[in-house]
Amino acid sequence: MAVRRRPSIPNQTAAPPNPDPGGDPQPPNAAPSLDQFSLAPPKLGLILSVLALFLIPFFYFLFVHYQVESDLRYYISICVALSLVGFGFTVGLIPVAARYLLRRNMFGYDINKRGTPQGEVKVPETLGIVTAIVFLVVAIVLQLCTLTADSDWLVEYNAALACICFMTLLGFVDDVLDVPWRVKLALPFFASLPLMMAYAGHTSIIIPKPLVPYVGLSVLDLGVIYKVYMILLVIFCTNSINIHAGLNGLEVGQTVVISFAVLIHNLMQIGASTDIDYKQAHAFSIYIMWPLLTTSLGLLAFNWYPSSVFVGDTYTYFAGMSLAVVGILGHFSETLLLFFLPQILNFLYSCPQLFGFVHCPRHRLPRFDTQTGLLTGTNDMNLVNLFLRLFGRCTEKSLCIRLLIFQALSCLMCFGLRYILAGWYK
Amino acid sequence: MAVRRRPSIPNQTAAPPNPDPGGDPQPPNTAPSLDQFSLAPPKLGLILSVLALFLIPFFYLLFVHYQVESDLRYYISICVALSLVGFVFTVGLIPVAARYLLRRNMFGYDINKRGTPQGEVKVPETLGIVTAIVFLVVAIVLQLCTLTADSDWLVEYNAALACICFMTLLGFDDDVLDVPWRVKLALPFFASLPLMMAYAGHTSIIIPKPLVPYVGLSVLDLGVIYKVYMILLVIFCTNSINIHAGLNGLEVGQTVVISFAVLIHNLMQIGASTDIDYKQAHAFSIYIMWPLLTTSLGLLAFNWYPSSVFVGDTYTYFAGMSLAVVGILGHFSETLLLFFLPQILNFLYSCPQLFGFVHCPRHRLPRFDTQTGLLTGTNDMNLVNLFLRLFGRCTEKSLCIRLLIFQIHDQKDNILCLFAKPPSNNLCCTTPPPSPTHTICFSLSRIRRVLRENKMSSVFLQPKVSSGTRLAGLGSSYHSAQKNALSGKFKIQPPSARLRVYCMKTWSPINNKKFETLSYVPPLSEESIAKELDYILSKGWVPCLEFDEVGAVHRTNSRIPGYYDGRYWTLWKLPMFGCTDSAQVLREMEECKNTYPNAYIRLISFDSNRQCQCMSFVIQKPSQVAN
Repeated sequence: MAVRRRPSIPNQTAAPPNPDPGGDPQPPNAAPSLDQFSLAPPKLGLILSVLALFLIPFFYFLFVHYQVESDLRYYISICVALSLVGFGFTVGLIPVAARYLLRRNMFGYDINKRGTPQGEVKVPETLGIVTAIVFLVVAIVLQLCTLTADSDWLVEYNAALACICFMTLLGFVDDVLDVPWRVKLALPFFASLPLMMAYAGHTSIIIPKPLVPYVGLSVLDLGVIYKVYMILLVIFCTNSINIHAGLNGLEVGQTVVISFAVLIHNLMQIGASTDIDYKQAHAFSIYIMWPLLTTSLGLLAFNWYPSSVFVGDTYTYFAGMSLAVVGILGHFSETLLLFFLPQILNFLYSCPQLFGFVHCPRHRLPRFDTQTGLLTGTNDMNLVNLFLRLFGRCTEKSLCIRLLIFQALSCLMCFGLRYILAGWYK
Repeated sequence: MAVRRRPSIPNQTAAPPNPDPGGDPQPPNTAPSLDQFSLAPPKLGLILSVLALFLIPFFYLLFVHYQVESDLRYYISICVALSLVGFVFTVGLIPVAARYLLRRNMFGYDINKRGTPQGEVKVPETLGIVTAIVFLVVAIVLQLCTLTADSDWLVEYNAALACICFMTLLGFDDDVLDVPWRVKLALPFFASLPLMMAYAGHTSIIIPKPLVPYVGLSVLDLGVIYKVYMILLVIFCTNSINIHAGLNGLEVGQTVVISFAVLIHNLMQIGASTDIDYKQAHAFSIYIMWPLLTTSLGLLAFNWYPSSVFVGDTYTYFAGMSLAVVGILGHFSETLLLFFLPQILNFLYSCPQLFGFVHCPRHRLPRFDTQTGLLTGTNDMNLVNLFLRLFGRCTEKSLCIRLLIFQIHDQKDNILCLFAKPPSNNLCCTTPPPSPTHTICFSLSRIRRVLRENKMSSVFLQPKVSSGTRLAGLGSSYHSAQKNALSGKFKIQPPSARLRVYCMKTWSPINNKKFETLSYVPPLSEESIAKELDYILSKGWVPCLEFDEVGAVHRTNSRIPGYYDGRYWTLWKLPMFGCTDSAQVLREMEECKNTYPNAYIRLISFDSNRQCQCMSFVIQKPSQVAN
């Protein structure tokens, strides 16, 4: 479901930009074209302003608005500082990794720019691996900084690392080998099992108050069914970001928006609660989310329109798993699902095509008009095309911005919903 | 350092077998050559007989030779069964994955067969990824089967999974992208950090006896330096297998030999020990090692001479990390290093070339003679060439077998000396004179075990050191350790002691009263009460039940000195004279509890000879009182 066209896919009808796309007969590390290769500079101005936009309200909430214990403030500040170092490393490493990836023929062409000069540039793929490795290193170092050797959260932290790492490995294997669909769906199941072992929380749900008279219970203990629900949540999160894709910067953009929403949610919960265990759970989520946010921003600097790198399934699996992990281990999976509203809508709307009731082409992308540079919606059933049909034709960049605004609005709506329903629902 | 020649490596001087090795201009998934592609069948006969050779002694030791708890036997059997399933999956998945890898141009040519028709076959690479993924899935499923959700070992298990998985990811990255050397050395460091966090064992080493006068200490707590040692161990293990390579089946073969040796070592430690924590540590190692052994055998079926697949750095990193992880978390890293002896020799011998004092070519492989099919040793400094120079030219297969026999010999030395360890607490060694390696190995584990037993039981048995054994020096170190322990000069951390502290809330002062010593521990269970009763009856004392509503002394009736109300509680029936069965007392207890659910009930016992009360403890508190 990724946006790129593999150079070796046989069913392309447009003339291949390179007469010999599959191979590079010269020895790659002596090839002059690669020595001259240089990535377009990252859009650092945009990204840094976005980062500042995130940092200011976060620190306002942390230091001014809420009464947070000073040691928690200290740990969260360390976490933010390390994450910013991770951002620097991501931005620095992506051009290096891009060169290595191009050397191994891992590149694609941008389908949404087909017919323009930009559509003939070899865009290196699978750069999500850089983000994932930097993220893992930052998370491991953070583990040393924020946890002591006898901490209760060590199990959860290690389980989270194992899950995210296994999912990244599978994503990277998928990018390299093009694993078939069935395997792709099965493997997140295994990756989620350590999470289930480490999950030591409640397995009961609270029945909404209006329904209590009908059900007869106010708390329903689901037991094993709750664990099945969590496994399904993991599989959904890892795949939904992968399905809601197809535009430059959309995969990374939605992850950034969701992870920022999760961060604000965590901070609000920490500020509102007095239970130390509950605070720890949300602090754990913060320790995972900040590295995710900053390393994703580092990737977005290159992946924002016009993309100079592609992220690959590695990134979408990695990001989805990270979000699912914090949702489950932080005990706020219901809230997380509300943040995933656009992805849920996209999945439901895509169902007829995904399950084969309606014909599904290889890429369900809008049509690109070379003259005007605008995208037109096709009849394929996904959110990207629906937006084009509802709100008219527009450029790729503005379409991506509209979708991200929709994501942000649904996150805001989630906060509003929680605020309104707080007394009534639970 | 891998054995294959990448199709795109520029400095090859021999004529490339394929005129256009770098690329495959046809769309690969419609290429007829790939549709016809079929891997040579796995050497299943050989591998299955090796597997049987491993299984039989393992199960003999597990079920016949050693007294192992039945639930541990059950879990280990589950582990073996799941690992065999993993073996089947590995063998089944490798041909599928090989097709995908060839489609993505990930193949190499066998340098040691250059010039023969076999040297022109495209051999798919990086098949270690299949082994690693099957291993991880089996290990995760095993986690569900063998651990409960509140197990202490969950931290270690998850840390092990995270480390192995991260290392596999880095290895696969390396195979795909050809990462430079510097990065390769740095990244295992990060991969090993979760392990350091999860390591909760001792950080002290025992100074060998002859050095004690010079050092002035007999046990040295290294603290952070010990953690540095562990990180170095991880980096060494991950890279040493990668360096000791270059022949068909050598990487996988050495892993199989080492992991089997580790399994036997674990089983012997479990059989010899009585410490439950120590057994758990070795059982943990077994849960990781069996999947590694079987999935590696699955890969070996294809990788054995003549190789139809190559393993890639993915496999060597993954296998090295798995071994390092069990060595560290199972607390037997010193023994593990002895198992790695050929790798250590190879590393030391390679040092001049690795660090650039002597010119190092891209591949340090023997020369292949096309006519005779024999390999000749070159001057490159590694074990492969050294063996060829020492023992003469031979074929690739027999060279690999010789190297594996060397590995097995090393393991056998270690195992045999451990095996010779007598079950009782004496130190005599009756087997043939041990080799030096053997003595070190013996003494380390021996000293650690003896020290641990001293710490635990505080009972010092006199060691029976038979004269003429080479372990006499050990006996005296045992004595000195004993003396030091007695004089309290130092505190030895037992190797299996967990530094994690579990504190129990002993007594709540709110709405609660103090009784006797036992009121500071949680309420006694039926089993504990029954055990106390058995003790009472074995002493010939008379059990008796009393109850009271207040349960504490007070002075409401008088203030005169020595006067207290509530010292005597109401007797429940008569004292149970002549009672011989604790079940009778328990029945009375139940009846009393049912009759007075809101009273304090205590069990007391009288000694009729000494005419006094010998024991008293509360068995029920009113339900509104905090425990």
